[in-house]
Amino acid sequence: MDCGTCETASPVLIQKPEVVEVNLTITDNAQSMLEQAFGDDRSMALLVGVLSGGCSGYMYDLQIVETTDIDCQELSISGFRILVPNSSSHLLNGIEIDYEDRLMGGGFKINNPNAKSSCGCGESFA
Amino acid sequence: MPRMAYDDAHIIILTGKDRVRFLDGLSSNKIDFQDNQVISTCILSNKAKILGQLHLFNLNEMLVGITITDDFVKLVDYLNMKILGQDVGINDVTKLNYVDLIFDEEISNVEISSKDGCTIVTIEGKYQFEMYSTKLERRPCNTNLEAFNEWRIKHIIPWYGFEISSKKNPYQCGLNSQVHENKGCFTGQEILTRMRTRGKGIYLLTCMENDSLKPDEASTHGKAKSLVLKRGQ
Repeated sequence: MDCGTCETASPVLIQKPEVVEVNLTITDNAQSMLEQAFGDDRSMALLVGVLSGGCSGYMYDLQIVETTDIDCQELSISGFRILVPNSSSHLLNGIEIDYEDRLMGGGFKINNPNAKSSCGCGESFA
Repeated sequence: MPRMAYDDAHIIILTGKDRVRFLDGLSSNKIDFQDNQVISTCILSNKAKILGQLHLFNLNEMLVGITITDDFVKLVDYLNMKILGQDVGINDVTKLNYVDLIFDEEISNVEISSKDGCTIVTIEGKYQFEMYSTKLERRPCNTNLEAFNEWRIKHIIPWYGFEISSKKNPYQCGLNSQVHENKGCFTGQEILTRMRTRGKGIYLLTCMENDSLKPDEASTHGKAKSLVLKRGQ
């Protein structure tokens, strides 16, 4: 077959999403948990990203990082460094990061006004 | 062997180090390649409707997808929308290649091979796609859709435009084998899992004598037998 590598095959145009200046909030519960996770070391940051996949098409990706190669916006909220990748900023503007303290299904939760629907476990959205 | 021009197929090539993980998160079957293997899978909407059927194989550092869909532009737009900073590129090389369908009682079990400039991809040991450059002369075709449908009816193979459509999910058109039950989250999975565990809404593709058919029951009509999607348990 001709895979187009021997000559110029036109790549499908990758539509880069618009970069949005992100505003987000962190609930008191989530801030308490972040304080436990970070301790006094505020050089670390919470990376709030989105990956494709999950039951509903997009899934949240939370990581504690020191630095990242990803092109990110850096926010400072209540003394915490929050990193949001520009590539998913349009999906994360206006979110609230919450923490639910439950034996089953607990943990960090994202309340996202951009989500039309979410899957049952809350990890993915559309 | 019977050969039919199959111009409804598109060929996409995915490049970049995240290509396999990207597609695995968006498709119903597990994209976990062993050597020289073809994986057939469906790209689903978040309501589990079929956006496209892909037969995937590795070629050097690329992932090639023989793509069957009723709306290629919509499928590519959907895939595009899901690239969020991952290292993934998508190329459409449909216009550079002819695609022929080969079907017979005896098909090679080798999943991917090449011969005389052709890449030959065998699907489930039943039929083959042959892809070759449009710079080459088109090979003479000796059969048509009617003969292919008769062969499909005999082998109970669902096909786009007959059993498969964007209005259905894989369990509604006999593509159960292209849904991996334990791979974890993928788009549309929640709905399919609910159908499977409740045993509701699943259809089975069966071959029936025409004499025993109800009007409009067949999804593919044959001369003596037809394919019918029957609601399962």
